[in-house]
Amino acid sequence: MLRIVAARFVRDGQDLMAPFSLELGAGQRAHLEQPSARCAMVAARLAAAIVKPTFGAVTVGDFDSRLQPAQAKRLVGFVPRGGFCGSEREFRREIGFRADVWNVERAAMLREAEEILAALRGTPLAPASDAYVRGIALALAPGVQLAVLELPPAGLLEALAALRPALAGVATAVAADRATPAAARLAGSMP
Amino acid sequence: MDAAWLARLCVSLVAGFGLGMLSSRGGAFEDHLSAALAALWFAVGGTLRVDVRDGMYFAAPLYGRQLARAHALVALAGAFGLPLGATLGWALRGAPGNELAPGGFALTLFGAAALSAVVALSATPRSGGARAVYALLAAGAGAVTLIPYFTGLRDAAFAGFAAALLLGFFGLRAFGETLARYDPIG
Repeated sequence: MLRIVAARFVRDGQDLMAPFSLELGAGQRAHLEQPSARCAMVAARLAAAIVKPTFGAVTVGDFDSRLQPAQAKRLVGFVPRGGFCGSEREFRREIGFRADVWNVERAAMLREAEEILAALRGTPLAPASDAYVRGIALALAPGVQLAVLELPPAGLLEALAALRPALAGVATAVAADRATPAAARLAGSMP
Repeated sequence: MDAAWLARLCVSLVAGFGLGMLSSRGGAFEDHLSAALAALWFAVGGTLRVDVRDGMYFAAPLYGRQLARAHALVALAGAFGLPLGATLGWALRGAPGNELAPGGFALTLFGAAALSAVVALSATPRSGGARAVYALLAAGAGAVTLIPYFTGLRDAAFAGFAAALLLGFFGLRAFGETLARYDPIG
């Protein structure tokens, strides 16, 4: 589902994240640790095919993020730090936007997003920020096979996996020991 | 598009309407110049406030050119506020021949505003000096298409509008390229 090979992201001669490789199948999850929050954000966006690696390769499904970014992004549900929507009204508007660009039925997507929203709100792991929960519900459009969580609260990736067992997931985090290079830690796989 | 965007659109419509109603019958040079300057101001200023850096847009499965077209629709809708208001003002003021006849000033004004808005889009993902340079370029590009009209050339409005269409096409392509290369890394 996700294959990252020796990915580096370089701007102005500087690496903006620690290089890493990662391979994930359907239903597998990984916690990707980076030396800083900024590095973790870049790594998450790289895994979500939003930014392209300067060196190395990122493949989502069968699609190379550099050559077929739109096709790769269709399979990814990306949740940025802070979520996407500040209000319920904005949430409904974004559902419409996503249903249109993902080419799925609006009513079905809204129903599914509200189910996810209700399920996440009911878990003790749900983060305090409503915007973040809405961001997750938004990201999981029908057809999404990989969730990428940018600096999520602890345990959220597992809560998500319980809701959608077949979904592959990546969560980025700041390494406790900031001196260590990036480590992609496979957190286990769902049946 | 949000409440602030709608408020700016209303302000530009009202400003255009006021300029149109207050201009002298037959359309004096100064009246048209003030309408042109106001149209460029609203087109560039309004477009600079379009938020193209929202992560949501980049997470969507769209190519840069598709995103560029969507943002251009918003920018153009905002930029047409003043020309539309002015056109209504000229129509209601009476004797609108100089502005609303085929090849009149209204056509030039719409073209210049549209071009400025499209070029100004390339400033939106940038910051600092590059942003200011693109904003000036946008105003300058719009002003260039007004030159034939203000210098009194024959068929000036059509020439200005054609130039705006051509330059606008390249401006939109350049913005699409900018978005395709833009890295939303916070």
